[in-house]
Amino acid sequence: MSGAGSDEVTALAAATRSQDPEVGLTAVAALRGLVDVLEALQVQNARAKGWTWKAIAERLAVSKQAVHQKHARGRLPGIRR
Amino acid sequence: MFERYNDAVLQVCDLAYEEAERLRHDYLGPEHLLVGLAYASDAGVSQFLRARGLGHDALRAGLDRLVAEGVLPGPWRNQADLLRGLGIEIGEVRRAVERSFGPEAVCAALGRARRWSRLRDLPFLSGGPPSPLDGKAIYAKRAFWLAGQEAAGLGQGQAGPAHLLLGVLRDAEDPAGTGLSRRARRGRAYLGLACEGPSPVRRLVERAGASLADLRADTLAGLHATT
Repeated sequence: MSGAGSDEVTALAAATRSQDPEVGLTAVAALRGLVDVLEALQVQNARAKGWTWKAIAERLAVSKQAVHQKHARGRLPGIRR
Repeated sequence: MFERYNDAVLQVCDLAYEEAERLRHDYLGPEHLLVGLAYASDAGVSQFLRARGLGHDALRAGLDRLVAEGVLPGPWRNQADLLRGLGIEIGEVRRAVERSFGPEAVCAALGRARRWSRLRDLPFLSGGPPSPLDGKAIYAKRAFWLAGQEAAGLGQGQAGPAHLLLGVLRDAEDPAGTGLSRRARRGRAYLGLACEGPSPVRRLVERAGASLADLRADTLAGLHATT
């Protein structure tokens, strides 16, 4: 990391690792918002490539019911919208 | 939707976005629009505001004060900055997934993720929560809608900056959080916005010694004079 913004970044990095729960918890929620979108993207891609819910669930380390309930709601398998 | 607003309004939106960006806010609210109006090249509205103690510098100082008082979110809440603190550069992530899957697939995934997000009722234009991969949440929908109503009520087709000012002022009459569901309030609280008390725009206006009703009456008088 170099350039004008590096001090700011270092300060923010320190802030995020700080023990202030308000900062730490807000960062966790932001991370979850990112993970949720990446999961939706990867599951859609896997389904488009013909992966079964069982195989997807195995890779995500959750039950196939959980992954089906979360991602297949209101859609027929394999039909993209 | 944007054919209902003229180009000057779109310019105000850009300026408002810059103001939200300066404050590191993850949303675009009526308070940012007011600053955008004060900066607008449409001289009428910006001069009108400056004459009433609501010039852009005064408004910016007012916003900074509201941040200091905890009415508006502090810069540390910016999600991209928080993730950078964890070593994640969200812009890089976005570019990487768009390269692999295409922008449309990423947009669709954002929409699907909103459906099951814990914050899914945030009052976005699109009805979704603020994933850090999203742009800013639009919290000014009601002000835009009211601006359209004002233009229609006056028999003027496209809404201009003066109509948007009327919309922002009307929206500010109600306390912060009016008409929002419990979930939507939770979403706003997550972003660090106060969900009760006077609206931020009302606080800005009254601190400058002006009143919402007077500003509205004067703006309407100006609009009638031009038609």
